[in-house]
Amino acid sequence: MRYQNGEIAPSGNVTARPVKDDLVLVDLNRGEYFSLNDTGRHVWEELSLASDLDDLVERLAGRFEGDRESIRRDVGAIIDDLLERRLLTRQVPPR
Amino acid sequence: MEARRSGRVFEYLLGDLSISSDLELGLPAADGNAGEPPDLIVRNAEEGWSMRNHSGSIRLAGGEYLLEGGIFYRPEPSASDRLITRDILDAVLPEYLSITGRTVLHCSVVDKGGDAVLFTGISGSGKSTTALALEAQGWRARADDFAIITSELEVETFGGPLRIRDDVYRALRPVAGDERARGKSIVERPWRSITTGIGAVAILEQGNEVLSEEIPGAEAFDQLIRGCFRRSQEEQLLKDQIDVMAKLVDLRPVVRLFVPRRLEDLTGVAGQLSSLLDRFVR
Repeated sequence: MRYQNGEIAPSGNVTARPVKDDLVLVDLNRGEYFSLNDTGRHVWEELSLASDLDDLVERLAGRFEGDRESIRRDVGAIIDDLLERRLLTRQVPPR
Repeated sequence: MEARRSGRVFEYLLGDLSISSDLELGLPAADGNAGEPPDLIVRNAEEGWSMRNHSGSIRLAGGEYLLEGGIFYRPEPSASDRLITRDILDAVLPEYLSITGRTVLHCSVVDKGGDAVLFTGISGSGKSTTALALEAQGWRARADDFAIITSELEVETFGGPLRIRDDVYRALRPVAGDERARGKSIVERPWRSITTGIGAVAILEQGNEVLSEEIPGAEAFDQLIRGCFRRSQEEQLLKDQIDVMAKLVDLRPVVRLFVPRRLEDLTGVAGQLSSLLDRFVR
C-alpha cells in the first residue's frame, strides 16, 4: 500500500494469528509479541488489500464510527505505530 | 526396568529421544533401536570427551550440552547421576522436542482418565504441588515440568519422576501413596506416557482462596507462548508452534487460577479446587 512517500507492507519476519477477538503479531526474529484490538486488526487485514490511505479509509469507513477525516487520522496513527515497532516496513522508491 | 547395555554403553529411550551414555542414568531402557545413531550422546568428561565448540554450548546445572549436527551432553565430573538425569529431563529433552517441531509447554498435567488440565506459571508458582495435591481427589499427576501440545489439541506426557520439595513430599506422602522416594525430593513412578485431550489451561497465581477467571485472548497467548520451549531457528517450525498456541487459546478455556501457596492451605482446599476443575473436563 502506498503511504506517505513509500510502499508499506507487513514485515517478512512477522506472522499474524487470530486469537479470540484479537490479532496477535509475532516478530519471529526478535521473539516479541504484540496484540491488535478489533480496530487494529481490521487495519492490518485491509492494508494489504488497499492501494493507498484513501482507499484504506474507504474500506474501513463502513466498520468504524466517525467522519472520514477522523478515521484517516486514527488509521494513520495506527500505521505509524506499526512502522515504529517494525511490524510494518516502508520502502521508499529510488529517485 | 533395566537399561539396555551394549559393551560399556547404556542405551535409553525417553519418548522420542534415544540416548547413548557411558553413565547409568536410571532412564527407561531402549527396546530394539540397536544400530540406529542415538539422538543424544551423553559422555563422561573423565572418559576423554571434549566438546568440539565450547562457545556454542549451553550451561546446565550438572554440565553443558551442544546442539551441532546432533545433541551432545557433557556432565561435570563431579555431577551426580541424579543431577545429570535432571538436566536431560528438564532441559535437553524439551529442547530436542522443540527443535524437532513439537510444541513443548512448561506445565504440569493432571487428568481423571479423560481430558487433562494443564497448570502453567512461573517457576515456584506451585505447578507440581497443585498437581500432586489433587491426587487425593481422584486426579492423577501426569507431568510436572513439561508436555507436548499437538495440533489436534491433545497433550502428550512422558511419565517419569515428579520433582517436588522435600517438605511437600513428606506432607503429601499419604496422598502420593505407592511411589517411592528417590533422593530427597523425587517421587518415582512407573514410566508411562499418555496422550489425551486438553480440557483447559490454568495459569497459577497465589491467592488466599480458590478462584478462576478467564483471561483475554491476547494475554493468554502471551502467557502461554512465554512458557514454550522455543529454540528452533527454523521459521516454519516457529510458525507451527505459534499456530498450536493460538489454536489452544482460541478453542480451550485459559484461566488464571488463584491457589494458596502454603501447602497446608492448598491441601485444605483440594476438594474445592477439584470441583472447580471438574467443569473443564469430560
